[in-house]
Amino acid sequence: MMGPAFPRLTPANHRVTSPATTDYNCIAWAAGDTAHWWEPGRFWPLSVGRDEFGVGALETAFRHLGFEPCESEAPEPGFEKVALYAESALHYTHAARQLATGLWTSKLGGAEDIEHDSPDDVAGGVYGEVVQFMKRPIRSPAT
Amino acid sequence: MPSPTAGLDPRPCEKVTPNIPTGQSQWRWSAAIGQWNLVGCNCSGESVIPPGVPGTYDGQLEFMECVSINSGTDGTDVRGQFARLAAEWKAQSRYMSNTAQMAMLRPYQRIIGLGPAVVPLILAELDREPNQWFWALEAITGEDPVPPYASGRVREMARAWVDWGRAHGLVSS
Repeated sequence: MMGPAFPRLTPANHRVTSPATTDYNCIAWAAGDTAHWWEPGRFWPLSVGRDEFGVGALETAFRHLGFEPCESEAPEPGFEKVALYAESALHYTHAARQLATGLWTSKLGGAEDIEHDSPDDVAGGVYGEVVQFMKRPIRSPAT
Repeated sequence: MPSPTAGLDPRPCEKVTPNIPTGQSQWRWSAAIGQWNLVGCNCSGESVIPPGVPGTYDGQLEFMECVSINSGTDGTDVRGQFARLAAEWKAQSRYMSNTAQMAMLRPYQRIIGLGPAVVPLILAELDREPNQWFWALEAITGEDPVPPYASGRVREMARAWVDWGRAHGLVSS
């Protein structure tokens, strides 16, 4: 999957971690869901119009899931983070999720999941650049 | 005459009715069940017949132009065009997650532009390999047969559309 779509991915900075599937997309994966293709107005965490495909709609969705904007990708104990990507304000392009290890995970559209070293590894091509980091407290397991 | 793109309930023209003009089909409106019933057709090859807008009185008869799935509005080969455009779209959208962005890609827009004739081909593709063809199907047909519980579940959305296609004679059983 390297090449023009992902000019910053190298064999050393990512590992494929799943087979390709169109069952879920990167937004679902970042939110921890592998059963749905998240799409505004179709399957989305809050009620929005079906033409809400901008970065603001994506940020609002993650706010609804308990995330708040934060400054950086640096791991913070007790928090999980996501990175939101866009090429322009018109369309969000991608979301990546930070793992407990501090590495990141991305579902690449209808292709595979990968683990990558930093949010920047999947930027610079088809996803544009990271436009927002967000974090939320890690929820304690139910007792 | 109702526009061929005003509604979509295509049926294959399996038996030619000679007294109907070539390339046409005839439909009778049934007010009781609220749909057009096929009286007869005179189309060649693999044809589909969109019934158009609702009728205004019971028993109303209308001729409609048949639409061949082998021929687009510009007379070109729809099956070949769809195969080529679908391959281009899958390659371009492979890493995308934003459905609107995927639907705005030029090959996808050109597939929508092929009109009702391409619907059986999209449904066959969807049956074979579930993917984000829902936007195109909704745009062309004006329908959305996906039940709320299936929203976001790509395989179930695909199944709902294929079932819809089967009910409308667009997917072979």
